[in-house]
Amino acid sequence: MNGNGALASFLTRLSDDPQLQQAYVNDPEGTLRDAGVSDDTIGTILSRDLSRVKAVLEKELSGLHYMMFMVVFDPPKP
Amino acid sequence: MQVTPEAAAAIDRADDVLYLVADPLTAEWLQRARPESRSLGGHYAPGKDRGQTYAEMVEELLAPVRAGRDVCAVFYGHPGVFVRPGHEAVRRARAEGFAARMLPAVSALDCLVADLAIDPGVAGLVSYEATDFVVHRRRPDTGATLVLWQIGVIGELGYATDPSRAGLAVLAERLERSYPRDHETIVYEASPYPLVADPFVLRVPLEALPEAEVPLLSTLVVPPARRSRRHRPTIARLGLS
Repeated sequence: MNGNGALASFLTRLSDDPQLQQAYVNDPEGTLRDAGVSDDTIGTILSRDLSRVKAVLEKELSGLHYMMFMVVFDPPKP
Repeated sequence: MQVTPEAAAAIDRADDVLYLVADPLTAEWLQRARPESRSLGGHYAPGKDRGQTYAEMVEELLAPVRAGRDVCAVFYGHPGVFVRPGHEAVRRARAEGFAARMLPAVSALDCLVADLAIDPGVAGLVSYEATDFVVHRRRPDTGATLVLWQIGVIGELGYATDPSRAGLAVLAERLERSYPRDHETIVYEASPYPLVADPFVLRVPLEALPEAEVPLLSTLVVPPARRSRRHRPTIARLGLS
């Protein structure tokens, strides 16, 4: 894991905690800061840009493998 | 994360948990919930036949089953939607006399319906995998919504890191046989983190698709281009007139 893992930890808690979700809705920047997320990452999260958020998470959790896509086409046999 | 309560319970009680997921947070969550869980992703390799990859995944899933263990396989989205090893593992387990079931979950199509406000019941919805669509020269019903999966990897059989522009050109050319060149389409990718990130939604005319920004795992939505015509004799036969 790169960095302090604060964002991954926060997002994991966020998905299961309705009170934290409400706190995030009310004050996203403050909630992220309280969770120990860095200023740079806070800016990325506030953008809500999917590709940027994914990039930050992949950097924080590098080394984990992700599925790409499902091949459904079987090439004809020679 | 969109984990159903039934899935969470299955993950919690299984002897073995193996997974194949598409985002780092879900993998991280699984490893925290079940530290001994194992990724099936190691079976992928550049240049390796995908059929061989899926066969190895199925074998890794079935080995502990044959040893009498309760196995939970976790897949990204819905475990039965675009998951060949998932279906094959259930089929093989049952064929070998073991109890196996698939728990439904939230697929990319479910997210698309919510994010793009499309009701499949209104004009109908037909979906195809994009490579399948062009290879089989499918003819779309232009009165219904058309959903094409995996448009970023048309013609790809292994690893891909960038969308296939050649594949997108083939797709656009195929669609232009049925739709106007300026017909608005929607490039879409669901957000795995809907609380903090929006889905990717790009509206683009069909003719501009080959050069558009297309995330690797994106889906193309082609809205209806015409209103479907009612068949009056059928309406009368059903007593609806």
